[in-house]
Amino acid sequence: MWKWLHPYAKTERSYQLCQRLLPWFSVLGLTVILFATVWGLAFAPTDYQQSEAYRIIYVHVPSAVLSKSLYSAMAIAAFIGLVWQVKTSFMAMMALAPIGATVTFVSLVTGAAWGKPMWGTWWEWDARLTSQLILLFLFLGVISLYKAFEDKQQAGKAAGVMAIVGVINLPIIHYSVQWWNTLHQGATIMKLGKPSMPPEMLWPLLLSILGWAIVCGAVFLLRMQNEILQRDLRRPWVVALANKSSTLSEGK
Amino acid sequence: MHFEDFSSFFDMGGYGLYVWLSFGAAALSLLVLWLDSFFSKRTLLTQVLNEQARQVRIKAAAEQTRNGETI
Amino acid sequence: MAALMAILKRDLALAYRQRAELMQPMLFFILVISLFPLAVGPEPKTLQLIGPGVIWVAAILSSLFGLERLFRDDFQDGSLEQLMLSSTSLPAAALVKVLAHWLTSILPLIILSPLLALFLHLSEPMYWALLKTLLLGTPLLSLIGAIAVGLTVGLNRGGVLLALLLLPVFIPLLIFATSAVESASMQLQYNAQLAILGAMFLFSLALAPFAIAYALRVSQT
Repeated sequence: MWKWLHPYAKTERSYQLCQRLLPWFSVLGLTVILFATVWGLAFAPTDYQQSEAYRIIYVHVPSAVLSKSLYSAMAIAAFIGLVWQVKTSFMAMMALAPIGATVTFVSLVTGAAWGKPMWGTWWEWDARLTSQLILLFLFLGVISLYKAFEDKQQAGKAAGVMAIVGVINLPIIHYSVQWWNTLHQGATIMKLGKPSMPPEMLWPLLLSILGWAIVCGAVFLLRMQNEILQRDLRRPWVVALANKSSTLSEGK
Repeated sequence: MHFEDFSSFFDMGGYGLYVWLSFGAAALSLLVLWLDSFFSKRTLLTQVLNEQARQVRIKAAAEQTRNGETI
Repeated sequence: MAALMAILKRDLALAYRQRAELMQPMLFFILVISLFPLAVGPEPKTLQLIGPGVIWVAAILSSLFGLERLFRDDFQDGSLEQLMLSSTSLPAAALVKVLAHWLTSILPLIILSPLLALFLHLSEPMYWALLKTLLLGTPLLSLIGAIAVGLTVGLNRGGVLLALLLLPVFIPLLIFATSAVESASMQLQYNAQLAILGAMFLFSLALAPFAIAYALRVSQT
């Protein structure tokens, strides 16, 4: 049933797939994200509780949602690589990691910037921010582990194991941080007012999430290509590709 | 347009600093990420070409010394 | 003099190429500090109480990781021996290597310190005091640390041994540094503590290079 995926275990096929998809993802991603951001910033109505500050939701929620889904994607890639010994899967995993770290970082910064007007301090050890901080550590740990190995085969396997250990840990971490937070309830109370969001606010939010996802997809395609190029630097198909792209740019 | 004029848009009901800090940090992070990925690809392809050119030079030098010996 | 500049440039260039490795002590620093709110609760007053101490202890522990790199690679590829045999003054060369180490391993921690002060809810006067103690005190970590690293460079499992050697020696530094920040938190003067830190710094700046050179010669014969 998965036979159609088999050709993509070859780096050349994967590279070409990324190349074909890249323009679509880039253009579509940029358009959607710009459209949704402008909609949320300028055209969505005001929140009566949080006034205009609530608009930060249009960057905070997409980055937070994506941080978790990118980690899961990374873990799935790790799983596929370890179980079926597919090298391109490890490359995909390492292509995802920096993107995941970046969006997690954005979720932390936007969360802090939202917290300052709402809670009065830039940083609050509430369950959500703390979980995101730990998520960032997990991403950085996987990246550091991968970079510590000379042999990239070994590196992929080690980082893969780490990614999977992390994903199993994620619900445990989240649950324990929530439990810790309710223990110290006096220090942090946060209201987001999520359940009842009017559609005029909800649509730009959903669209933002979609836009961010597509943009991350585009960056993933680029980084996947880079991982492939790095491994296959001396292969004839890469040399041919480099020649072709240089003559294309010279022709301009 | 929800805002009356540009200055109130910029001000964001007094929360301008936080809103623009957030959106700015998000935009900057995504931009840096994209630039890093894009320029890495460029660098890698250039590396390939340089390596190829080097191989050509090595070959040419080997040829020369071989011809030098036969003469 | 040109030789010393060359050593500095070489160490900085090598560090830049291994920047993934350099990130690790930084991550450790942030991680360890983050553990404390999770352990003692996020109540800002508690965190403010323990904050300066936590940041200093984390800095000391993180610096231990970076110290191991100081002579390790040079020892393994033989350039340490070459350096010791060359006509360049070994104490001067050691001082230059310590400078490179401080710039690449410890300065990043100091740059991160505002973020961590935020995590631990330190007040502004406390933060300025902390910064001054870090600037005066962390060179001590590099200088005295290098002596112990020089002694243990050839050893296989030097890691924990290094900690055992250095932590007792760093206790006075820790006491005066945290006392300074504590005084700042109570809006009191802390010049006395800073002066003592400064004296310790100058003392080690003058003598440590010779001690490092001696330690290297002792361990390399």
